[in-house]
Amino acid sequence: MNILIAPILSALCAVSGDTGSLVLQAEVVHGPDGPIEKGRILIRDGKIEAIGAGLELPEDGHLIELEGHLSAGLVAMGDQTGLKGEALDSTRQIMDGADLAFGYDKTDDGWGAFLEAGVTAVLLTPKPGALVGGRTAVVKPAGAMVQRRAHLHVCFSNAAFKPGVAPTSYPGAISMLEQRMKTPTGGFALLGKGLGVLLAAKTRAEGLRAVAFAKRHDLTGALTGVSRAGDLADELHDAGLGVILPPIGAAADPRVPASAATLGKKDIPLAFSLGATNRSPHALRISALRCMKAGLARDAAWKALTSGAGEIANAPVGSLAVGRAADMVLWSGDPLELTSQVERVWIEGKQVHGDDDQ
Amino acid sequence: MLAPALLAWAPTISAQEPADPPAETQIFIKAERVIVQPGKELKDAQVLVQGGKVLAVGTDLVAPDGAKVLETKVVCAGFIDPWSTLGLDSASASLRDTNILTRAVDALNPFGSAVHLQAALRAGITGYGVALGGKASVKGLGAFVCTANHADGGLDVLLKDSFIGATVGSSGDAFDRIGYAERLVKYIKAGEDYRVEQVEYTHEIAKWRTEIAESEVKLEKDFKKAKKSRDKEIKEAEEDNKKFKEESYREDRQPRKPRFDAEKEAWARVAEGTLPLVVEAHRYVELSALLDGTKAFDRLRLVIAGGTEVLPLAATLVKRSIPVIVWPTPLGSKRPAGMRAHDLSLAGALAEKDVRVLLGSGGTSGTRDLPLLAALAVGHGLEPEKALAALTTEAARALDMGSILGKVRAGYRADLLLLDGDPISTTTSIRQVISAGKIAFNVEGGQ
Amino acid sequence: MIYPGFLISCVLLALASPAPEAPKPVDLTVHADYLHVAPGEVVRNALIQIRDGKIASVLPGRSAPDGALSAHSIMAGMIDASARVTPGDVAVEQSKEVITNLSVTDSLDFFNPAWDRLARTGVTTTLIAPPDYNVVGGFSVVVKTSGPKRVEARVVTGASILRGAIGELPSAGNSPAFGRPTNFYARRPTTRMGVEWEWRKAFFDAAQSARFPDAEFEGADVLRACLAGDVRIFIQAWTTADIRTAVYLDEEMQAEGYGDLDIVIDAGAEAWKEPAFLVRTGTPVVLPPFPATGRLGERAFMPWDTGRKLTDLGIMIALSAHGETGLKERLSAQAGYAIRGGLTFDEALACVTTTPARLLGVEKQVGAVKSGMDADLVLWNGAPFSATSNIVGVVASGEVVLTPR
Repeated sequence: MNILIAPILSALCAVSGDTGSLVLQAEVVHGPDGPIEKGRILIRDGKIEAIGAGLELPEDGHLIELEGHLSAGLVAMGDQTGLKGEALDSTRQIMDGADLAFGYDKTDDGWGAFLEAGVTAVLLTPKPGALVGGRTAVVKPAGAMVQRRAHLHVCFSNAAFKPGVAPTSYPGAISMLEQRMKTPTGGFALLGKGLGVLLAAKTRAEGLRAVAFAKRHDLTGALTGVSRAGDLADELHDAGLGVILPPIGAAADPRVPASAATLGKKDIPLAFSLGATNRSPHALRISALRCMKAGLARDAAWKALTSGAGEIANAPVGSLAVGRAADMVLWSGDPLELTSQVERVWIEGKQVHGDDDQ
Repeated sequence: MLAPALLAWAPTISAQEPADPPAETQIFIKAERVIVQPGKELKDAQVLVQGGKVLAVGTDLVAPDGAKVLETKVVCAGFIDPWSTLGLDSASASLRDTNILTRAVDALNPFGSAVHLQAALRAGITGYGVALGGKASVKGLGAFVCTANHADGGLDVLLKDSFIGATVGSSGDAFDRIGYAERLVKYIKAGEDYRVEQVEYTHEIAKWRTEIAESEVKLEKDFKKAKKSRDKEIKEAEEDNKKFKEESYREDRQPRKPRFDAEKEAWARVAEGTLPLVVEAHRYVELSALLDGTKAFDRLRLVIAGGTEVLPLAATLVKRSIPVIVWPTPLGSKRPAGMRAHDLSLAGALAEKDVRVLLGSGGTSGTRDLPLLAALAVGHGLEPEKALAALTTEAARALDMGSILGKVRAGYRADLLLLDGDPISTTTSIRQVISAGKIAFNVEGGQ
Repeated sequence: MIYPGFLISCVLLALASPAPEAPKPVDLTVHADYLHVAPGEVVRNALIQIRDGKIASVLPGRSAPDGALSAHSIMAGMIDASARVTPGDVAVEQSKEVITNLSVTDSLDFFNPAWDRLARTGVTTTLIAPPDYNVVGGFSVVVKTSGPKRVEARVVTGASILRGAIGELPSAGNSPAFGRPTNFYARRPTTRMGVEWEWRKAFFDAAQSARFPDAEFEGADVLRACLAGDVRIFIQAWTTADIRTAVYLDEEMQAEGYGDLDIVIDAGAEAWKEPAFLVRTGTPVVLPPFPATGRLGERAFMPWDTGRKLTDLGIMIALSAHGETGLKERLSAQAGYAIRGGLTFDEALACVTTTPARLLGVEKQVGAVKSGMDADLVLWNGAPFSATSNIVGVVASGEVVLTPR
């Protein structure tokens, strides 16, 4: 009987909002401590109230039994969907007061592709082109803003140089940044007080300079854009920074996923980004799988897609921990198997993608 | 004195007798599952490989002495990528100045792509079909190549002329694209006509020869009478001051042999079905024009590559047994021309309608990703068994390798994968790859 | 003769109580039939013992032990005072014409395979300078060509060296402003005259700031240090006119009483034309690579006997290869050309080892094969710099970078 009532009730729940509680049971629930066979999640008011194997149904609770694996939604670190022309202000080299949150467009069509790929949180980053591009934001696809100011985006690659505008060189850029750090104002003043730093670089030498900068000023955050960041593992570990890897494409150098495996072995927090180009969000899982084939441990790969990414993003996303928002995905099988597809997606307890026929 | 010396010599002579010739490397594989072909599996079976071929497959085989024994969970046939540009010199891969005679083998560069070939091999692809020309309308002769190197270091090309590649609808508006399809049909027609001309010529010349023979016999008989009447006519002509006109017999005109045209010859092979034609087309307009135009050629073997909007024509594809090579890659908002309607569920939807589905890497060199893309397609509705078939038996069949590749059967070429799980699963790892009966890749290193 | 005594002392040591600390094992032993310790010093059948990346000892008159690295001749690793291994114009800040507060260190990329190639040609230490697109580009840095791919491991502390240029390059790419200048390329000098003015203005302003405290400006401290001779300046000047300008700058500063600049001319191809002022100021010259046709950058002309001529006049010269690694262009080939042009072997050896080491202020660490100095060696299969011999091995900081096969 439950199976028949459940779809109707869940539809009602979706319509009526967050009143009442919902219990979802799935073959496997990927909780914060690992997979739980026949796990259950209790959701109330859009938040996770409890998670475990033998949860008891509360009085006002409706049980929905699902086939498949339930997990936290994936976190994509680095994208410009919806920003259109707002991803970069080219008038100044240092825009430490600019918040990408102001450019977030909830109604953009591109968000559908994210839900289809099981992504429930996205870190918006500026397009490379300025020394300090602005402050990143964490949003839910077509949904709420989770974190208005997650990181200050600082570019250490030569993409930051524009002809005819100071700085024109690496030494000049670093000098300009050091000047601002001497008497920090605006965004620089918030660094270390809740604002992380997102160091954008392309080559390993640029990455080393970026990490050295973060170490000098005791900054927390992550290095993004360096494909072979594994060669910088010692410095990253010493500085306590995470790494966001650019998408690993079909023709990628085989040393790139091997480098990710090195980072995993050295316990450096890892996450995957979609890069500046408009890639399909499936690229996240595919990049993770490529790294797994090169030796990255399964747990590390899953963490990089979910909770680890959430930690780097400075936002409470990517985990089914108690108290977190109920952003979940129902997969037809193991989420780290490309043969599993997204069946349903919930954001804050409301189903936003997928059919109800189960 | 000689005798003892000889005696002393004798043992050394026999010691120097040539030993038995070294046995060809035999490999004996023990597996929990042997996937002979999708849908047919043997449990706890063994495979014996020798001399580059599978010698035997069974459940009660015993390892011969001296054979290298490998144990694994799953054995299946090596994967085949029918739509690739791996191994091509980069300038040739996008050459547009091609015609039907341009050969892909001429542009293969094994040394430049060594890393990518090795990566594809490690991912399980043992053979692939390659054509150059990018999006040219006629790409030329494609080849079938093995990813493992030849014994002497070069590329092992199994078929120099495996298929003809073509593209329809890479640019232009709907009418332009229909025009391209019609042009392709025209070429095939020209090829067919050329072949018909050749056949007619052989008939005609045979007929002519018999007629000449008969006339000669007749002339021999009436020689004198004919000579007398000819002399009379000459004299009459001289008297009338007219020029004597030799009578011309129809038999004197030998039927002219049709001029050899290499391109038409190649198109003739396409029209008569000895060479499959792989056409890349995405939009409904040109696909439908192509299928309509080629309806008349009942021996043409057509293969559609891409087929983004081919689903409405599924019935025709089934009726004419036209396979479709799908490229199930995730695309973002920037898509190549014609692929705006690209959907990952295409492979599954086509397979459901009983269309023969193949999986390819879209004419890129990303062949190593094919198993990942196959898994993605399975995740979007393709049945796992059909996905495995797409990678093995169907691909071999479409590229004329169906009797030597794609199955784990006695007599077939020994291109095998030894895995620790289901072949289509992305968490499975390939432990060993055997190509032409030799271990081409071993995850434990060494041979 | 030494041998029995050596034996006896060994025996005595063995009999005596064990030493409190066992001597550290030698990391690498290299043998040479001819070891060029320094220009003018040759040791026959030398055994070089290397420990912790430094030369522990040089023992003469030994035979090659089994398995040790051995070569016909060995010399110190070469030093290129003008190797140009930078990522191009992003290594020099061009928003101001005179930059004194930045260093090229922040643009070094040790993952570039060019470093390995350079190390394999026998160049073990280099001076890397900001490219000369700016009038004064910033500080140069002395860098080892091999080692861990980290700045801290590769930088060698030597003299403070500022980089600048006189000539065409700083004004190339600039244009006069018609109407409102849109960027700084319209503001910079467009002629040699303008470039030279920038130099004099910089030092004039620095001298004024020394006299009047409220004339202080950013970067003045470095310029004052230059005037005091604490910071050495490498000025690129190809043609004789530019070399003249550079030296006259020094003499003018002295004449005005502002100070005494310590100048080295880099790429001084035409130093041979008017050497008189180089002699009277004692300005050293780093010569560019010898050209096959005679003409060089900025249409300067450098004949083959330039080395001989300048050395005869007492001018300190060093050779450079601008980071080239080709068989005919590398630093060892440049030394060969200089010998063909008249230099003796030892003079040429000095031009690529001890003299550039002195110019860079690192002569205690590199440039000779002496105990305590860095274990940088170049192994030859014949006489060094000869056309018939090749570099068969390179040792850098005790690591074998190029192995003799």
